[in-house]
Amino acid sequence: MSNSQNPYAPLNGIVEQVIVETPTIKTLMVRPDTQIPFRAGQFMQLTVPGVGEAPFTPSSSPNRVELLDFTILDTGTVTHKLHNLNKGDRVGLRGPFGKGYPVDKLKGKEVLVVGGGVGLAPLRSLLYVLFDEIAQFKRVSIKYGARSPQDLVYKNSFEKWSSIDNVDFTVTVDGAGPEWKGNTGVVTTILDNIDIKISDSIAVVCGPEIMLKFVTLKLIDIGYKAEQIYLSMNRRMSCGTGKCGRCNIGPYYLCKDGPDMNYALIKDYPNVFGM
Amino acid sequence: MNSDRKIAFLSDDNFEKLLDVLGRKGDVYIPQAFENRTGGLDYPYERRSEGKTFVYAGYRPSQPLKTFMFSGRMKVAEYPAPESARSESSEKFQVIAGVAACDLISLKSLDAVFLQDEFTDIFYKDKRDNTVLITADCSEPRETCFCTLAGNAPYPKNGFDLNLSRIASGFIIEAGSGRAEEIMNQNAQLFSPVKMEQLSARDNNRAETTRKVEEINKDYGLSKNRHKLLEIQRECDEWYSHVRTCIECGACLFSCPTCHCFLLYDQEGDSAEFQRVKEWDACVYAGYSKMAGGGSPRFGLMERFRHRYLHKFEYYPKNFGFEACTGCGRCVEGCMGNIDMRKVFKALDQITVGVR
Ligand SMILES: Cc1cc2nc3c(=O)[nH]c(=O)nc-3n(C[C@H](O)[C@H](O)[C@H](O)COP(=O)(O)OP(=O)(O)OC[C@H]3O[C@@H](n4cnc5c(N)ncnc54)[C@H](O)[C@@H]3O)c2cc1C
Ligand code: SF4
Ligand code: FES
Repeated sequence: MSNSQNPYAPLNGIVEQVIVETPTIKTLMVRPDTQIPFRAGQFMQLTVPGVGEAPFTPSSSPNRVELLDFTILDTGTVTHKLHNLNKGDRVGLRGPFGKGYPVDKLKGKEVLVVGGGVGLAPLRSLLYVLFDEIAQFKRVSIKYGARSPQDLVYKNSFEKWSSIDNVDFTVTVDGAGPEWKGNTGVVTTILDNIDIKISDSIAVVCGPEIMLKFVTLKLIDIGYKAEQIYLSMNRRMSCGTGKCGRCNIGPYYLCKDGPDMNYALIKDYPNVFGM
Repeated sequence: MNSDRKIAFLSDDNFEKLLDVLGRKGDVYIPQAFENRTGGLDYPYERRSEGKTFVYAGYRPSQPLKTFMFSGRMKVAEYPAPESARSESSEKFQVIAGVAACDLISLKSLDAVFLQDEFTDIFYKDKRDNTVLITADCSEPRETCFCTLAGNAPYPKNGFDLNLSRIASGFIIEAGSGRAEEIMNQNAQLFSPVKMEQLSARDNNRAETTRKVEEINKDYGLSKNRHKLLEIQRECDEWYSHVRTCIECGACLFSCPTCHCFLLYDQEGDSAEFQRVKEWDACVYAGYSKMAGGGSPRFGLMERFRHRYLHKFEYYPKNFGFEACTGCGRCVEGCMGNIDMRKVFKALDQITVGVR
């Protein structure tokens, strides 16, 4: 039985480059030994040899399989070790897991993309897909919030993304010094007066649990129906394949049925937004 | 019962001879009788060896069958990945004798999880393929038994290799698989034809045992529409009064024949540089679903306690079309807090009168 048939065994990958995005976020560019095709929004389990695994959604385009980007917030054991890796270091990879973003459902729609903090990472993979076929979508409106200007990821891309036809991009930070000329306030504040035709829109949201909760409430408040909202839900994961049991919301296993879930499917189950 | 099945009489002595034969292919596990702390008998499986003979208890063995399909802690990967494909299949047969119906049926729940889609658990599959299951009809149900409430019967119907029905001085043995028929053909000298009165003795025992289990459970409806009941009562206060005595030990989950949760973790390897270990885990533990940063979707004990019910009786039916409870009663027997699933359902039922 080769390792590729064993759902618990990682494939080898090499860190090819490390990009410092913010004081707490780095992007690792990983070259897998074997190419791993994936869909935007599908995630991988990344192994730090001898330490363990944690799940991450590639932030790179699914059209570039030879080199995968993982944009990682340093928040605990595994993520901290990942932050200490250098060019040439080895990692393990399992996946891809999950369904990925419902790109087909977004076609012909006004797509609202809402990101919080490192939550823009999985969304970037989706954005690359949307940008590649931008004519297929009525428009793409991106709303991104982070704690402070220095916590914003992919700053160098904002201008380029905004310049694409039918794409608009708004950034806000929770707080900033006087040198910040942009919006301040949590991300829900830039959803207040959006000029989107809500009845013709689908919202895709990724960020920390608390942000998911308040963005969802806001979206419902401004007229989105639960069916029009897709959330990248957060749960502890281990197996990635619907077996270890821990990542459920009601009968759905985020690792298998998600991690992006239609809000209508999950909203009536217990503890959707955790504690 | 399926009338096409091969069926015969087998004396106690000849059953031991059959186990001798099967033992040449792999390890044989048989129930043994042990006195427990309350002076009663328990029947744990032990590896058959010199001097140990099969004990027919008429009651399920102590360990859930899952312990033979995936052990509490096992190595599931080594890395860096080896260059060449390497065989991880044990291809070693094991024979489990004396399996009760409530354990046999648990494999349906486990198969649904471990053999599903593209991510088949190769270790589970290997064990499944290489295990000969010799089941046995029950005759001595205990107060904790509720197979009939769970929609099962105290005797196996399908999915076994060989089934034993206790009758005077031996068993009626029935083949439930092609490989079992082969075993019977190859050892034809051990078997004799079944007599009519032996068959009716079996049928009487089955009917009588079913009646006994129903009698034990006459106070509990365990509700016909369990998943609907849970949907309605997910948020009710009743849960809090039942969780009061739960000490979060996880006994109910580890002893459950259908519970399958686990955690993967990595450590230094023995033959490769690193290895990955799969270890049983339990949803009642606070750490089970705790996330980075300390948040958890099931922060309170009530939510973790309730999850066992929701998972088995609401989510399993939604995902697979059947419940993940076999009525074996181990969770009732093992609970330090004296929590009885049947009583929880009864209480939920009572507060739901008129709602459904
Ligand atoms: C589908 C998905 C996609 C994600 N994508 C991204 C992404 O693109 N970028 C990003 O930054 N984050 C992403 N995350 C979040 C990321 O996975 C977590 O931040 C990460 O798992 C934290 O791991 P840690 O070990 O650093 O944190 P810790 O807080 O150390 O660990 C997390 C949990 O694991 C437990 N744990 C830690 N070590 C062990 C051990 N040795 N044995 C047993 N338990 C242990 C802890 O108790 C804790 O409950 C994603 C999460 C999911 C579910
Ligand atoms: S066996 Fe009883 S006390 Fe232990 S975790 Fe289960 S319900 Fe709680
Ligand atoms: S991560 Fe194991 S079931 Fe989802």
